[in-house]
Amino acid sequence: MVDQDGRVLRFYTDLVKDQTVAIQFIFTSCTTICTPLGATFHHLQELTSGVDRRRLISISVDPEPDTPAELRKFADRFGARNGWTLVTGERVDIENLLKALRAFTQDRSAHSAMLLIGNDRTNRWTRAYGLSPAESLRALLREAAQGNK
Amino acid sequence: MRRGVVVAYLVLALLPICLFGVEPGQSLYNQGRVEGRELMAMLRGSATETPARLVPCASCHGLRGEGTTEAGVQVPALKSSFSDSELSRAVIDGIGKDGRMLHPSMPSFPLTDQELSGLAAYLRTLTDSDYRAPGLDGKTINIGIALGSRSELAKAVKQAVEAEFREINQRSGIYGRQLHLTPAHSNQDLAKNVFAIVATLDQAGAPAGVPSVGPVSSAAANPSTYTLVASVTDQIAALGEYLSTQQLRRIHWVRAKSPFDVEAESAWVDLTKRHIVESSETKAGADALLFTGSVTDLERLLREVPNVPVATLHLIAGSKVFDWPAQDRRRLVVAYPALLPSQIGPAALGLGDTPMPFLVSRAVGTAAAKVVIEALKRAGRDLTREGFQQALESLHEFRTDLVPLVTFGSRRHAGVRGAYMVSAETNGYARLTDWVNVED
Repeated sequence: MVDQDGRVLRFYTDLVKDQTVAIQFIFTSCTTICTPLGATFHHLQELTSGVDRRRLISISVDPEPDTPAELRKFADRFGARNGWTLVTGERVDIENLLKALRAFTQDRSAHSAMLLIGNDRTNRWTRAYGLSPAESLRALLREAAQGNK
Repeated sequence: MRRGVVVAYLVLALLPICLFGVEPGQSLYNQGRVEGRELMAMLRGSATETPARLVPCASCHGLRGEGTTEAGVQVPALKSSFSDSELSRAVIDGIGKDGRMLHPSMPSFPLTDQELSGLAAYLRTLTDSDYRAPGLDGKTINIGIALGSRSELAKAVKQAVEAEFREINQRSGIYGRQLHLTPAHSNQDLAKNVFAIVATLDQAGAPAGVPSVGPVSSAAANPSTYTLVASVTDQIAALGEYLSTQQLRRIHWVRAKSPFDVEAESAWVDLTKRHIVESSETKAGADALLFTGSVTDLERLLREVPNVPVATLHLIAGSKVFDWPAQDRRRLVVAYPALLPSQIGPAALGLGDTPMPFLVSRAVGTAAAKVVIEALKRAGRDLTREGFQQALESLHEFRTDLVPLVTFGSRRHAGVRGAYMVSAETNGYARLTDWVNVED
């Protein structure tokens, strides 16, 4: 996997391990729902900035055109800062990841508008609608984070 | 011959661009822009405000209001007409014609009454099957060219375009329509009467919504502008790629003030971030220098720093380099954003083989005309501006033999990306490489 700055990373070890995360599914040439999804993450980032062990992750469901440079543009469009990682990679790796997260679809336009919110330490995971108000997503992140030692 | 070459080089120093909309409803629908302020949209689902230009109507409902389905959201087509009050309820209050709340992915846009009427008027053009874009009827397609103040150069380019149009018109035009070229001083003068704009050298004020195919060396932000000459950013990216293949990896960037600062900066950041080149703090520690600034500063630099290769742009070096001593001149690696005069046979322009002034610009102008003609053919009999833009965006490695291969896409309006690396010899530029292509 690669992030928006071209850094090679391992999805679980580098992004999820010991963290409370929100994961969404996007592709950068998507003109419809990905914009509201991006804006929602931007708002969520503002609400959760400074909170330790929180990470927002956007996984591209269209990895070939979504080069790190395209992800970077998407990230810049929505003012992504540290703690918001956009992920692309080899199609087979991305597909395996999406399958593992139960978010795989054959057609990229059918990608899920769901968010996955969870806490690796407590292994508590939940799903939420990606266009929910950012405040309620923050509440879900908080809830997931509870139980951390 | 020398003078012809020099003039041909000179004329590539065309450019700048800026943008603003004219047809208000269309700008609003396609780009989320309104006159005089940044329109903010409220994303109702997530109660988040975002600039409307990120979520314009067309991004979900489609350029022709055709609708779409994505991520389980069905975006309706806008085929039935709206009264102003129905539109206001939908766009501002998020309530549909049937009185039900619209899906939360439909943002709310706080439009003024005037903006709403403009939008309603534009939507009627989408629902009216008899609607035709300006500059279009059953018999003619009116294409504009702005001549500006660069009259001799612009006239030469206009002749080149006219020659192409004449040829296609003699063969009964495109789907029976004749191409008509309308000259005007500026792009704004053209906006209301033409279907599209071709080969206008100075794209300043190219109106949003009117497709424009032309040279433009700067990165164009206007979504209806398509360019045929590589941008400064791409030229510097190509220079970096080339230097790195020559094992010249430690680069010191000597930057004096130039009109290209922003674009150069963006290319430099990218080159160093991707480790194509390494930034050297000092001239002494560098394998090569990258120079942006004025030609006078370039000349001084070459005198001050002997023996080190200096990479720069033709846009900067211009024709003066040919007057410099060979030992200075030969250390230059110059990025050239179009075909070289030596690669363009005057015969290809249908004008015999006498050398002529403005050769490169004529070539770009003719290429622009060829691109417009090809896209008009592909767009079919039911011509719309949107269909025309889609046809432009379907061009892949389109060959004109007048500019490098042209490829457009929905996210790629720079048809030519990269540069030739050339060295400045006594009689003009000599190619060091094939076209160095760059992509994001």
